[in-house]
Amino acid sequence: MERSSKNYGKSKERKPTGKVGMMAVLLAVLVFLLVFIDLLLGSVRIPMSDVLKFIFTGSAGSEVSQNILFNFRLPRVLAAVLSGSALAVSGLLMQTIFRNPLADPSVLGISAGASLGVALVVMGSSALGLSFLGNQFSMVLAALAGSMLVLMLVMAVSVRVRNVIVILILGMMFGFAASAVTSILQYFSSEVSLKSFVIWTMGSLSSISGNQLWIFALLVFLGLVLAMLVARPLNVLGVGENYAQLLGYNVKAIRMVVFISTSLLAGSTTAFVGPVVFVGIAVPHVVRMAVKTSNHHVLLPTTLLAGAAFMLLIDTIAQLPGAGIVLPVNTVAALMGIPVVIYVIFKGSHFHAAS
Amino acid sequence: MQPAEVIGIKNLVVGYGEGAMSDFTYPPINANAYKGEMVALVGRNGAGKSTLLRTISRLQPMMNGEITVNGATLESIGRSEFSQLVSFIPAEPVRLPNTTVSDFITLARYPYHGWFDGLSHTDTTMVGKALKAVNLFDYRNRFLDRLSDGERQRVMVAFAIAQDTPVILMDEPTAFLDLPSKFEIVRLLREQTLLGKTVIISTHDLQTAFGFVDTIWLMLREGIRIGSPEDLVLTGAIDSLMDGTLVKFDMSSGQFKYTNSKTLSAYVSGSKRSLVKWTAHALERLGYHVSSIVLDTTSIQVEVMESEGKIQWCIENHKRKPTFDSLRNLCMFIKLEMNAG
Repeated sequence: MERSSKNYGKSKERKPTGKVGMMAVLLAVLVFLLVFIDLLLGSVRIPMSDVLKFIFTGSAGSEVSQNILFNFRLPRVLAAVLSGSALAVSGLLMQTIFRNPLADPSVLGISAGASLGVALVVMGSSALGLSFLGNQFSMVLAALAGSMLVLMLVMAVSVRVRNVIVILILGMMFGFAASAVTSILQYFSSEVSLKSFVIWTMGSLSSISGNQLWIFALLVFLGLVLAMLVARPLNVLGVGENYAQLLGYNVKAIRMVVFISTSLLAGSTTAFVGPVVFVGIAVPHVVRMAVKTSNHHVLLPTTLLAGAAFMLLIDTIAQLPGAGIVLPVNTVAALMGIPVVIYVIFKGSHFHAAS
Repeated sequence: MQPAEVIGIKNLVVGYGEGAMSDFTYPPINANAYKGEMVALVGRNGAGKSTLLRTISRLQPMMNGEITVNGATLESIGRSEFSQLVSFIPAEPVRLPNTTVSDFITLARYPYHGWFDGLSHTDTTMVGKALKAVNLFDYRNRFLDRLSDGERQRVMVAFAIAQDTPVILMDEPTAFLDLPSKFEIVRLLREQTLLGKTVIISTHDLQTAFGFVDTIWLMLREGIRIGSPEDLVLTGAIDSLMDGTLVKFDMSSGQFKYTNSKTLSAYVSGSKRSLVKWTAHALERLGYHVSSIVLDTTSIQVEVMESEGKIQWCIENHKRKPTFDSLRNLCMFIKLEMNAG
């Protein structure tokens, strides 16, 4: 039996090392292409030559183009790249840690915590008559504080608890609690602040300004570095916590690093872009099916690139109506991403849920 | 001459420190395993076999007592040093999608690396060697989730080999396997003991335990009994395993058999020894005590004949003298007709 299946084993399931390299290059090219297209789009028409000049030399030629590109479109494009890669990577981390293909950053309650923070600022402040709190920067701070608070709770639990599924359930409970409080705030808030909160929940890539972008980039960078540091133990954690421990890793410490990384990535994205769902679940899934590996030294960079590409694509589509109308990020992400995921799942004949 | 002790266990109490099972403990364990020894942990469900293996491999804290590996207590061994001393394959099968066999085995080499150094030439060699040892080198680029149970278990053995530890522990390595795969796994593990490794497996499969291991740790409610399989038979310890059941170890045949409360006896006659032997086997299975002479309590007399290549069974002392063309039909008749009422 071994003999007869020898050829099959050799020809059909060849090691996809070269393929992965190709895919990474393709993804990088795709990201670059989408950056270009995304810069091209917007309410004001800017000639292609100006955009190309802007990309390669840093100045667009005409002052109007330069102003629009540098102050409006570049921040939007960078926000898309940062949030896309942050969400995708944090989704990958969660799926590996919980060994569950349906896990994403929201399972730890991090997004719900951020939402609660924003809800307190947007709706709570108007109720208390503290209107000065309602500005953009305080929303960001509140979102960060909310996600950090939930993370702290999750970490306090994870030091005590061995079983990762217990952490998953508790994280979801924290998330539900935060959502419940948010709902109460929504119920009692004024129409105006309710609307501004609802709009925030739909997500937006264009509300981020120059200085905030630096903070966003720094937080995402830190999160990504932490994720890369634990790439090796993540490979073993994917097999099971038993195996990680047996191979000499401190499981609780690694889990902690992963949680901090996730909260930096998902928390900052929720703060600056809004509670964007779907990217965190879908992108790592699609990447895993495409590269067919569970090695995080490969998965992390490809997921990062794919996340950036996906978010750029979403933003490109969100701009399509033209005339200055931009669709909310969340709706586009869902409507666009769902068919892609369904297609990929059906096409991958041996789709396995890691249990 | 005393062989070198690799695993030493003194007054070990295993169990669960917290939760619903906190007040439950197993009797203290004293045992040791030598270099190159193959040990089978045998005991009933809930006897603490997995718990003991998990405790030796430090997945679970011990409640009391001491375990030493090469003379050093478990507590004194560093995390990464320990992963180069003891490998443990838990009973739950690994489910890891999108992973090739060789990528998986490569994980077993992680204890030999720092955070940043990549795979060395030694690692690649070790992975290849481990796969060749279990005859799966040609499968190295197959995906894990495309393997049969038997192949996957061989991969797990390769994992332990690649981790290159003097002690290999496996929980239920032969569960769910067909007979050939079972023997293959045990043979592969035996091979490792010939290379000087100490292998401890837990098993419910007494045939495997009796046929192929050096030593059995028999975990009974009253404590652990240790010896070669034959030692345990001669001291009668093996019978204690079956306490509370209707099964007894039959020392003459080396097999486990039902003991019956009803004393039904049977007599089998026939021309060929093998025919008589297997007919008696079938009747014993039905709860009859087969004797070589007709006793006055004999409730059934079977004659087995062979003519022109056809075998026939006949119940001589039944009023209709029924005949059967297979033991299956004979057995079903006896079961339903003779035992009725």
